[in-house]
Amino acid sequence: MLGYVVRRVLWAVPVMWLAISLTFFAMKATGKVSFALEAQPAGGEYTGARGVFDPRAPLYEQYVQFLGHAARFDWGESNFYDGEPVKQIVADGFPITARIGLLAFLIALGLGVPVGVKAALDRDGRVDRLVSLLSTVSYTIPTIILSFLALLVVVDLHIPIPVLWDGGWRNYVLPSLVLGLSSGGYLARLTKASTLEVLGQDYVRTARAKGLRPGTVTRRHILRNALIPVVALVGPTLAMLITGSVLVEYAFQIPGTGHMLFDGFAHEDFALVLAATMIYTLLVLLANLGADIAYGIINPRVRMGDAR
Amino acid sequence: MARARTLGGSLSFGMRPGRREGRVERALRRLWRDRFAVLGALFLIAVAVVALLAGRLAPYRYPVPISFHIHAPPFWETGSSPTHPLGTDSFGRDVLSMVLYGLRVTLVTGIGAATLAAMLGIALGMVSGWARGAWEEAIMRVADLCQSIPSLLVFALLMALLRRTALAAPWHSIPLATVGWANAARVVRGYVLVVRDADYVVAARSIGASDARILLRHVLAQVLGPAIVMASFEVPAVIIAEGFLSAIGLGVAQPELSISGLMFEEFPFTVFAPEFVLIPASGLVLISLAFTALGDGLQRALEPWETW
Repeated sequence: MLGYVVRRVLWAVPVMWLAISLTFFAMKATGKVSFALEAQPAGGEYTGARGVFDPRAPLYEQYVQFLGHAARFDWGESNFYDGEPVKQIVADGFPITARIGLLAFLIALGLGVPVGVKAALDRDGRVDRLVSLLSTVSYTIPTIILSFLALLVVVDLHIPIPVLWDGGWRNYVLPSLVLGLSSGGYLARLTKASTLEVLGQDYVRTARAKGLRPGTVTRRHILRNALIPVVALVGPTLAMLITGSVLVEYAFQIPGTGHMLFDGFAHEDFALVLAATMIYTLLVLLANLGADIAYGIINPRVRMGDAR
Repeated sequence: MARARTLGGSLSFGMRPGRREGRVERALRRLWRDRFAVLGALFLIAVAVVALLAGRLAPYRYPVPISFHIHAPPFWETGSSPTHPLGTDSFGRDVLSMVLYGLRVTLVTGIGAATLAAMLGIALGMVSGWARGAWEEAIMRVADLCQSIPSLLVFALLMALLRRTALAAPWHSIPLATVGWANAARVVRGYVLVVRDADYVVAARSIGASDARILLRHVLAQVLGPAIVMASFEVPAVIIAEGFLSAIGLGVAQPELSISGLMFEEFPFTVFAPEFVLIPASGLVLISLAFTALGDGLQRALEPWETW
C-alpha cells in the first residue's frame, strides 16, 4: 500500500511537467506579450508585471527558468490585473471555487448514492423509472445549459437569489446545486448499476433467507459491497466536477479559479493560465489519489502492489 | 465457423438462406427495435441534411452583421419581423442563419473529434493489448498522462499551441480528440486482453494467420462496437467544450461559429435576452440526447457477447 501511494505521488511529477510545458509552449505559440517582462527594455527600469522568465535568454533557458519558477509555485504577476501577484488572485479566488466544489460534492454524494440504491431496490418500479429518467437528463444536459435553466427559473420566479456575484452565501446556492445535480445523476447511475450487481449475489439471498430485516440486509450486505465500485469512481466524478466548475463559474460570473482561467485565456495572460493549469491538474491528481487510497482501505481484496 | 462471424463475413446485409445471422446484422436488427435509438438516429440524419443544405436554406450569410437592430425578438414574441424569424443576436446577425451554418460546425466538430478519438483509441488500444510489454506500457502511460490533466485545459492549451495558423472547420477537432482517444484505448485494450485468448483467435493463429490478419479480421470486429458506443457518448462533451473554447477565443477560426459557440457568446445576456441562449441551447440538448440515445441503444444491441 505504501509503495503504491509513493509511486502514485511520484506520478504527479511527469503529469505536472507536461501541464507546465504545455502552458509554456502554448504561450510561446500565441506570441503575445503575456509576461510583461518580455516588453521590458534590456537593463531598463521595471515597468510592468514581473514575469517568471527572461525573454532575452535563449529559448531553452527561458523554458528552464519557467519550469523552475513553476515548480516553486511562483507564478509571477498578472498583466491583466495590473501587476497584481497571481498568488494573491489565487488566494482570493480559490476558496470560492473550493467551497462550491465541496458543496457540490456533498450534494452529489448525498443525492446520488441513496437515490441510486433506492432505484435498484425498486427495480423497474415507478421510483426506478423516474430516477433513471432524471439521472439521464441531468447527466446528458451539459452543465452550462443546466446553469442557464437555473438562472431562468430564478429570474422568472423572482426567487431572492442574486444573479450577480456579491460574495454572500446565497451566491453559492445555484452553482453548487447545478454542479451537484449533474454529477449526482452520474453517481446515481453508477450506484444503481453496482447495487443491481450485488442484489443478484448468493450472500444477499442467504441473508434474506435467514430472516434478517430488509433494512439490515440493505445496510450490512448490499450497501457495503455496492459502494466499493462507487468509491473507485469517486475520483473520476471529482475530476468531472472540477472541470465542470470552470463552466459553472463562467455561467454565474463567479470570481474563482475557473474565472481566472477564463480571463487568462481570453486576455492571453499566461501567468493566470499557468496558475490555473497547475491548480486544476493538482486537484485532479489529488482527487484520484484520495479515491484510490479510500478504495484500498474499503476493499481489502485489492492488493495495491499489483494495481499498476 | 469463426470466419462466418467476423465483420468481414457479415458486412453483406442481405441474408443468404441457411446462413447464420452475423454480428452486425443482429446488432442492427436490435437497434431498429429500440424506439429512442431510432428516433435519435433519424433526428441526427435530419439535422445533418439541414446542415448540408445550410447554404440554400439560410436567408443570410451569417458572418456579416445584417441589422443595426441587435437582439431583435424571435417570431413568438411581439415586435418580431418576418425578415429575421429567430431574431438577431448581440452583433445584429440573423440567428436562423447562424444556427443553420452553426449546425455544420457543431456536427463536424462533434463527429470529427469523436471519430478521430475512436480511431486512434482502437489502433493504439489494439496494439497495446496485443503487443504487451514495452509498447503496452508506453501507450498506457501516455494515455494516463492525457487523462490526468483536466480535459478542458488540454483542449485549450493545444488549441493555443496550434493557433499560429488559424484552424479551419474540420482541423480544429484534432486537439479535441486528445483526451477521448485515451478513454477509448483503455476500453479497447481491455477487450483485446480478453479476446486474445479466445478459442477462435487461438484457432486462427494455429492455422498460421498473421498478427495483422488476426487483429483486422477477428479482434477489430470485437472492439469496433464498444468503441463506436464510446464515441457517441463522447460527442456532447466535445461539442460543449468547443463552444467554451470559442468563448475564450480558441475555437474554430472566425467567421465560423458553432451553435455552442453562439450559445456561449450570448450567455452574458442571459438575464436580459434569454431567448438567444435558449435557441442554441435547445438545439444542443436535442443533439446531445440523440447521441446519448443512439449510444445507449448501440450498447444494448451489442450487449450479450455470446461469441466469447
